[in-house]
Amino acid sequence: MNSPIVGKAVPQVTALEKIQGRAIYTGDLKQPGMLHAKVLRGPYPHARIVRIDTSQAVALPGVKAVVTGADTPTRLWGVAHKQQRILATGKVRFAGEEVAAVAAISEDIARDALDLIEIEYEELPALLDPARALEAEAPQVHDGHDNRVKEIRIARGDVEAGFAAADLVHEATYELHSQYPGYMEPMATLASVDGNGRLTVWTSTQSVFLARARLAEALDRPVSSIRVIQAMVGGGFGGKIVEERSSLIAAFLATRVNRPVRLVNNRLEDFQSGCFSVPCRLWLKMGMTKDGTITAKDVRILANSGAYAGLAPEVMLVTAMRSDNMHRLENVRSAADLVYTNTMPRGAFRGFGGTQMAFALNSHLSVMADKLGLDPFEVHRRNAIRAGETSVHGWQFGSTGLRECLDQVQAGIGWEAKRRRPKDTGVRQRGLGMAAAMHVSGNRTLGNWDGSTVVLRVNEDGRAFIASGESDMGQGANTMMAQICADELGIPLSHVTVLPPDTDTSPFALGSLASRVTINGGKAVLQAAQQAKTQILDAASGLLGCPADDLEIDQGVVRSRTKSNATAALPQVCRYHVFRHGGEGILVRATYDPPTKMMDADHYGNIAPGYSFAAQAVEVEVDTETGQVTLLNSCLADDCGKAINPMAVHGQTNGAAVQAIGWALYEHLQFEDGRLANGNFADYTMPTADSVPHLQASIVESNEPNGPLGAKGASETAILPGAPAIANAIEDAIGVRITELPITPEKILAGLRAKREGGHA
Amino acid sequence: MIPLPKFRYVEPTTLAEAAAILAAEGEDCQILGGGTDLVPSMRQGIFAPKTVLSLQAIDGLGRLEWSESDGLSIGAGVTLRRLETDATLRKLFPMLAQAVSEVASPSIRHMATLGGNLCLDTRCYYYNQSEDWKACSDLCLKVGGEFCKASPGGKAKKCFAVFSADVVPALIALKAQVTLVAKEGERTLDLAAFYSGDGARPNALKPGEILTGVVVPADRVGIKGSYLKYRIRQTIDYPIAGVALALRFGASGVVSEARLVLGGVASKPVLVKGIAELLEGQTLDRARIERAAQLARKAAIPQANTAGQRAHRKQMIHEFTTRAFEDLAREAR
Repeated sequence: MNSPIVGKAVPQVTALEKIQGRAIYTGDLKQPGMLHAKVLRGPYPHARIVRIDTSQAVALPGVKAVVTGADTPTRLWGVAHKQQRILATGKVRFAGEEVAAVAAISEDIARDALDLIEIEYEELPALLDPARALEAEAPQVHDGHDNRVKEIRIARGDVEAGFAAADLVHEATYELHSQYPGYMEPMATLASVDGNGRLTVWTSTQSVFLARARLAEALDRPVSSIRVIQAMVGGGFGGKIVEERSSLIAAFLATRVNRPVRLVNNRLEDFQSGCFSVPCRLWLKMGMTKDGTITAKDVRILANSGAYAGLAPEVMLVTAMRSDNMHRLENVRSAADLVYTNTMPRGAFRGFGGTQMAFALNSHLSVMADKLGLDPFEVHRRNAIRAGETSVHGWQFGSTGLRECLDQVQAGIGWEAKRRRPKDTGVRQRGLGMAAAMHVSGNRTLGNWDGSTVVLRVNEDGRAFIASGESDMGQGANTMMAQICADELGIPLSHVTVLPPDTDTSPFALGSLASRVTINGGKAVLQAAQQAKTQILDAASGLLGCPADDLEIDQGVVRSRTKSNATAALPQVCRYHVFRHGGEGILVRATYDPPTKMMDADHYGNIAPGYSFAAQAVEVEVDTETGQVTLLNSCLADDCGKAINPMAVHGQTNGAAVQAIGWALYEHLQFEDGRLANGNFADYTMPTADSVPHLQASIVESNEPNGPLGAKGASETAILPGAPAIANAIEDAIGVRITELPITPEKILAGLRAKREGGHA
Repeated sequence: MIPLPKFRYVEPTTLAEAAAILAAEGEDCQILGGGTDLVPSMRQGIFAPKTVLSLQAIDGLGRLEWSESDGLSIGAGVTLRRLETDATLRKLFPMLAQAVSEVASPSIRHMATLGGNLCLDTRCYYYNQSEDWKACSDLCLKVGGEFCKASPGGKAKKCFAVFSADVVPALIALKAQVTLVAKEGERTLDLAAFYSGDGARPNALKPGEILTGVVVPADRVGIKGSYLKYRIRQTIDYPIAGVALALRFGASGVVSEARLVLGGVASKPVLVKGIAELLEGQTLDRARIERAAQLARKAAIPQANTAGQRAHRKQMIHEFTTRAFEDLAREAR
């Protein structure tokens, strides 16, 4: 398709207002009479709340409400399990859990009021180590329940036979740590109750409808009595899907005071309350024949859900089985257990559990390839699933760009030549590593619907409004939708406005999760635009006296393909559509529900309309005296089906690469008695520009049949291969295999010491 | 954004006026240089001064002057960016320029002042926390508790918070002198003596005193120096081990002066003992460098209160000391 807008690298439709500082985020919103909220957090990882005295706080001038768990609705809310109230009652289960909240006329007064709340705690033995969670004498995080959140057991084929058929069997245990999403905008919410008792909530969210559902549940009121509007969102990375708790507190306070209440986390508070990725210990055993064919894969996982079960069970399921689908595997087995601990709740994070297994799998494949004298690229190619095939878990592949991703990064990094060069022998030693991974585009998990609905209006001036409940969190969803719409309608990009998601006016949508917005939301936009175009051309047919199928829209003008003088400007056609007997404005609705299945009880079924792939190759330099690792080069290819906007895809790919570098080398949560000790950006060291090499991001367009114009999801896939590619490159450089993240200089030097001592043994 | 607590802001135009205000306000007043450390610390609730006294309107604190008789005089108000880019300083004392350029990031160096860097507060996982965090358990010694929680066993009655300015080790290696001014008068002391080693009160500033500047003696010209910094990221981060080495070479590579100062591994910059005795009158060879690195390693007393494991940071002191010597030995050849 010769397209002027789709496929063009244009700045995002939100770029101008953002760089001018004029984008309105939730923290910028003000309303008359607005109060400011602050939250008091429990200090202990596990403690009984014996007594709370708020009388002094209530008496402080300027304080309008002080609430504790006892004030909150008794209905429990939760994602996997209904187990939380808006504020803790009875006991606190992690250090930082919200115990009380204040609404006051200023943030300072609210802050001062917190100091006046007296709480007596009785400390309880805390369960901090997930490895102890299932022991009989372990403290119970939730009284009366054992600490197992979920267990997943999956077995297909004959794993033992697979191992028996292998020439090489390798097993190892990996420790994958938790990561803070580090979005630019900490959580923020403004909630307001109107004279009719309706609650309106502006919040930084990845999904207005899931936010509304959660508010309805936690506040125990009808869904339709709540309106959620998405303000501009400064990043989410999974942390703003459904697990954060501060929006509930803000909304609850608003209902208590009948005044607008704004609750904005500062960075320190966001670390305390934020959602972190799921850490796990992962044991992996794989069998391979001499030619690199994988014969069996066996995995055991112990994952840490923290104090509550949000999306962590779903995350662990992804860790347990998603990567199996990228290869032609027959014999796989997973035993995964998710446990509670008295630590902060863990859950959704970009990659959604994929990063954890991608690290183990790619580390494994690199080791096994080495042992068999094979190139890891060849091992991936040999096993790679192809378009038209169905994977071991029933996933059907309409498009697979895995092999092209491998080709691009292998060439891009100069793999062949660099692998042949003599090994460095000095203090600084270079190495090459690669990894590959897959991700879903969409996921039919919530209530057997993964669809997306778009309402499209074309106004009398020929310009379009898109109403969709899917959310842009900075990743470019609005730009993608606008490009597809402009392209189909034959109008400039600037003539398309994507309306902010609003549960009162937007069609129902699940929002930005599971990389589903481009493939499902984009498809709905395409279908809506096609319908609108049909109406426009039908109207133009009447206006111009030409058959509709002879007409096209080009640059805002409807013209006949055959009669050169038969043209009408789009505004003229759109006005004609309205202003006549029987006329009406152009208003169409389209829903795309992908042809996918819910997983069955055995976790089998084609859950997504498309699957994205990525591969990455990196070159590192290790200082063997300090243990410091420097990335020299990175080549990352993302199979996104079709890049609706290559600039946005490049941005996502590079951002994912950096976040993976952070997880692998820099970011490291430190705890002191179960409390986060480095919850600030001086001590929680996210990568800076200096930590990042020249990043090469390439795009593979595998043309997904289910996708709009061939497109699939981009960006989540790209975070998956970074960490294992780095670990593999480090082993190539210095012969030390790191299986525990993050890769610190201490671990590198310990590995080198062990290698030296092993050499003497 | 975390709001700043309320405070009174004063901006005197003379040192005498500043000293008078400081004398009157006492401990409730804090001095603002570039604000790059004070302001975030105030946001975090670590400091809550009633008065913030800015030095920026005072004439003379922005001086950066070289004379062959008096040496290099640097006013407390000179920004790190100016130090790092000053042609004279770069030519005469490249190690100092190097150390300055390792501080934080360019945007911070544009604001940060020499005086602020010299008076940098010590840091610690138990101290650089929000009030809520600190209130969760017994307070640490630095904020009024009984014991230093970062000390081995957590039972020391001395504060072990870490001193982590980059510029200071370089200045001490260059035998800089510091001038302190109070209402009653001024005093000058060796910069090395300015630091107490007590993490709770890391420097010798008395109530009412203002650090007005340093002087690097003129006879330091010709010293070869190297400042090497170890940290997690190559920008922004404080040093978790820093090494400033100053050597003077005589004829045929014989060391005539040697000073080695460590940063980021104790509650003060550590002037390593025994270095002069080991090296002066000798040529640098592998064995002597190794011996010097061992002395440095022994002098470093890092605690588990910042990034990097203790043993690792000691090892890095050893490693970076070796590298600094090797760099200078190469230069001397």
